[in-house]
Amino acid sequence: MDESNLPGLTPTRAPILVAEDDPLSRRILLRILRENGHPVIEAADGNLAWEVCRGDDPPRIVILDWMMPGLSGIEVCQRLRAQPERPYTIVILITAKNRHQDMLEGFAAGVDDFITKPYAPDQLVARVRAAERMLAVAGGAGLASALREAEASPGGDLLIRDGATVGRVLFHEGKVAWIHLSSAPGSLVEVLAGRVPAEDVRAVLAEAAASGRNFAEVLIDWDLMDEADLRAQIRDWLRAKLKAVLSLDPWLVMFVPQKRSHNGDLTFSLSELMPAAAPQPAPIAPVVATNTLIEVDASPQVTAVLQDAAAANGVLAAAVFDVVRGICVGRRGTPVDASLVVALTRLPYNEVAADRVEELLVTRGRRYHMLGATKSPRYFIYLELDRRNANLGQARILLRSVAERVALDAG
Amino acid sequence: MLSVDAEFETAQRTLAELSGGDPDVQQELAGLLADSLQRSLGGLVSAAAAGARRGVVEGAHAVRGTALTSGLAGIGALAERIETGVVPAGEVAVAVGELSVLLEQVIARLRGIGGK
Repeated sequence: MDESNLPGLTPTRAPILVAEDDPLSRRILLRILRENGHPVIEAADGNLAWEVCRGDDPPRIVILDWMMPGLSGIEVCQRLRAQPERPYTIVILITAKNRHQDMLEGFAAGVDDFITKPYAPDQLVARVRAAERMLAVAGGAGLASALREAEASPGGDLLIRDGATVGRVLFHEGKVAWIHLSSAPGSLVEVLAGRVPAEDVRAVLAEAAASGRNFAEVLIDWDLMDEADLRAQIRDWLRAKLKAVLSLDPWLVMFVPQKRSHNGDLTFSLSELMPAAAPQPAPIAPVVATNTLIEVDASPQVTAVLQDAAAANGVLAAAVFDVVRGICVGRRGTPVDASLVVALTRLPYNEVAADRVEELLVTRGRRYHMLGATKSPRYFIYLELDRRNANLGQARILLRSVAERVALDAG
Repeated sequence: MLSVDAEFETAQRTLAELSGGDPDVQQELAGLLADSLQRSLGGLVSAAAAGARRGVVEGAHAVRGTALTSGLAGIGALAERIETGVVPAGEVAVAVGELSVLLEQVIARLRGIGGK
C-alpha cells in the first residue's frame, strides 16, 4: 500500500534531528535518511541536540541515541515534554538497550518510538514515515476535529497559533461568521473587490457605523449588491481563508466562548466552507489524534466480548488490534490512543529482548494501559483503566478472559 | 569461542549493505567503525583496569552499540554480557581482555579496508 495516498495524511519533509555521539552510527543514520529524501540536522551529543530543540524553528521529529555525552536521549526527551506550549515533537529513541524495563523507562519519559540496534535501514525509514503520519494526523485531523467541536457550541472563537501566525474562526450559533488570519489580513474592500468600488464600500461602512445598522443591510439598501450575490462573495472568500487556516501546522488550538451579534443570513455552515481536499472532521473526536490504525467493525461475537469487558468496573475502553494488518478489529468505551497501543505491541514483538512478555501494564497519569496477546492468531487485547476504580488483579483476569474468547472466536 | 573470520565477514557484508555497494562509502564506514571500536575499547580497558564499574558498563555499552550497528553480533553479545553484569565482577577483567584481543584483530582488518 502506498502510504502517501492515505487520506489526509500528507507526509511532511521537515528536517529531522539526529543526535548520536558515535560517528559511525551517526553517519549511517544520516546516510539512510538523506537517501530517502529527509533533510537532516545532526548533533554529536545531548547538549547540542537540546540547543537545536529549544530553537525558534525546532524539528518535529528527533532521533536520539539513549546514551550520549552531556544530556542523554532520555533527558532531552524529558525536557521536550516539559514544554507543552511548544509544538509536539515525535521522539524516536535509538539504542542498543533492548530489555523490557529499558523500553518502559523510555515510554515513561515520553518517548514515542524505539529502534533497537541492530536495525535494518528500511525499518528506520518506516518508523520515520509513521512519525510523519502521526504529525500530519495530529495537525490536520486535530484541527478539523476542533472546528467541529466549535461548530457545536453556541458561539465563540477558535484560535489557532502556528508560530507567529494566528488564525481566528468566529462561530455564531453553529455557523462560521468570519475568519481572520494574521498572515493574510483582509477587509470588506478586499472581499467585495471587483464587485463594488472601494470608495462605495468605505461609504457603506461609514454609514453602518454612524447609523448602527449592519453593513450588509446598507449595501443592499443602496443597491450596490443583492443579498445572494453578497452571500456568495463572502462564502468564497471565507472558503479560501479556511483552506489557509487548515494548512497551518498548529502549535496551539484553543476555543474561547464568546457571544456576539451577527447577521444570521451571512453565516455559513462548516461543510459549506470546507475545501473538498481538506481533512474532514472525524466522526468521533479522538482523545489523541494519532491513530495509525484503521478501525473496522467487529464481528458480533467480538463486539459482545468487548462490550462485556468495557462494562467491567474501572474499565474505560477495551479494544482488539491486529497490528500485522494495521487495523483495530473492534473497540468499546472511550477512544483509545492507538499510537500508544502500537508502541506497546512492539515490546512483545521485540525478538532480541531476552525477557519477552505476553502482558504489559503501563501507568500514565490517571490511567492504566494493559496489553495482552492472543496465542493464535496473533491479536492484541487492550484495556484502559481508571486507576481510581480499577482492581489490577481482576483486570488481569479480565484481559486473559477477553484474549481467550477473542482467540476462540477468531479460531 | 568467537571466530574473528566470521565476525569480520558479517561486518563486511553489513557495511557493504549500508554503503549501498559504493566502495568509497564502504571504505569510509570501515574507517569510522575501526575508530569507534578503538575509542570504546580504550575506555572499556581503562575502566576495567581501574575497577570502575560505571565506566565498564558505559564502555561495554558503547562497544555493543557500535558492534550491533555494524553486524559484529558475537562481539556485541560478549559486550552485552559485560555491560549487563552476566559476567561476574571478579571475571570482568578477563572478559574485557578476551574482548580486547578479538577487537584488536577486527580493528586491524578494518584498517585494511579503511586504509588508515
